[in-house]
Amino acid sequence: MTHARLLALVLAVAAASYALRALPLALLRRPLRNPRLVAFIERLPYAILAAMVVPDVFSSTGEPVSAAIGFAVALLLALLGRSLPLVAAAATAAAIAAFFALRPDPSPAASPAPEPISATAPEPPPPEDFRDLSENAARSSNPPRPDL
Amino acid sequence: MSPTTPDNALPGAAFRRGFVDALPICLGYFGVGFAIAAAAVAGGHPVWSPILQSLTHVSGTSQGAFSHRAIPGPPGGGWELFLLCVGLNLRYVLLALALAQKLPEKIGLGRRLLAACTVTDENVALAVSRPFALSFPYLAGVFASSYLGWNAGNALGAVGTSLLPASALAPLGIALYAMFVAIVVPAAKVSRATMLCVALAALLNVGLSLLPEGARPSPSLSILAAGVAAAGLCAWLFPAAGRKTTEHTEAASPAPAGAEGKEDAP
Repeated sequence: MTHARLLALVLAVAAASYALRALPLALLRRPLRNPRLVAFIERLPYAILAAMVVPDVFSSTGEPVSAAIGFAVALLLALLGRSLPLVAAAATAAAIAAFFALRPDPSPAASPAPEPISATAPEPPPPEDFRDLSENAARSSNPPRPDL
Repeated sequence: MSPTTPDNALPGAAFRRGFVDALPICLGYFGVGFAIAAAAVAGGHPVWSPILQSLTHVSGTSQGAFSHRAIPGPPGGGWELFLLCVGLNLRYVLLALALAQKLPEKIGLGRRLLAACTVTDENVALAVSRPFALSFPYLAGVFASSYLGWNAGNALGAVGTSLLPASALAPLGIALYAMFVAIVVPAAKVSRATMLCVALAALLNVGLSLLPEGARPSPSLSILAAGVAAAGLCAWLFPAAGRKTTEHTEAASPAPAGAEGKEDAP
């Protein structure tokens, strides 16, 4: 989409987000009663979030194994009831560690990257999975499925 | 020592107390905001995009969806993404209702409209769990603290990223998904119906993404359809009957983020 369209979309979502917060506070002085409506409103955000995570999380780092490791760490810590920032930080750290540990030798063209951080046993991905870092970056920001 | 009632305290003291109480939220928002903005810019967004979004949306979930899908370049699209963000932010209706239960009755419309800016998962969880009646200055303090952290993180993430090579940021993309996991899992843990609902939504989306190229909806539409279908089906099968909606129970008990669903599948 064009930058103008992006701007319009950002502002439209801003207006809608504010309306969703303000209208109940301004208009509804009593709680919602319809149990099905309440159930729907309550669960829809979680359902959408779950659908956003699966399966796209596996292409979020550009390399599926490190993404799966980060995802597993996030699930585990969230099940243990850890706070949101901790879950996010730990999962990201695990994914980064795995990403650089599992990465094949960087091609000379790639920009200087940090050395492997983790002592995780390296499982070299099959050769057809070889992609240099910039390609990884491109893939992570442009998921394989066609986007808007 | 009995808990201070900010209502009776000076407005300045109540504001400071709200600000300090929300400092953990401020720090958490800073980190998550940094990651979201960094991922957005690395993914092709102009620097102003995450900054403007953080200033106006104040919603990590919809901004995350937005940054990841509204990538400048390819033409077309938009309405599905708009609906997706509205669906994600629909929970603010219930959070705002929960907050409304804790506001003093005398609070006027203007201040209610300002208080609406405070509504995020973490802020409302903090506010409704306070052992004292909420005052407007206290909420203003909570808002100032969390808003500052969120926007500072986003601004630094957006600007900092434009100085770094995109390749160094590829693995950061997962921070967003980890954040979503951290929001979904606690809600799914307290309600079997919600757990069923999120599992169904994820499965439906996997199913849709496996369709052949021509028959496959765009990612935003597929996520929206999977979410609406799963939430609709589960709402029909398991209405939130066992629960007196958001009345006294929720205002009285500390509500951790995403604990609105206390009902269980029958």
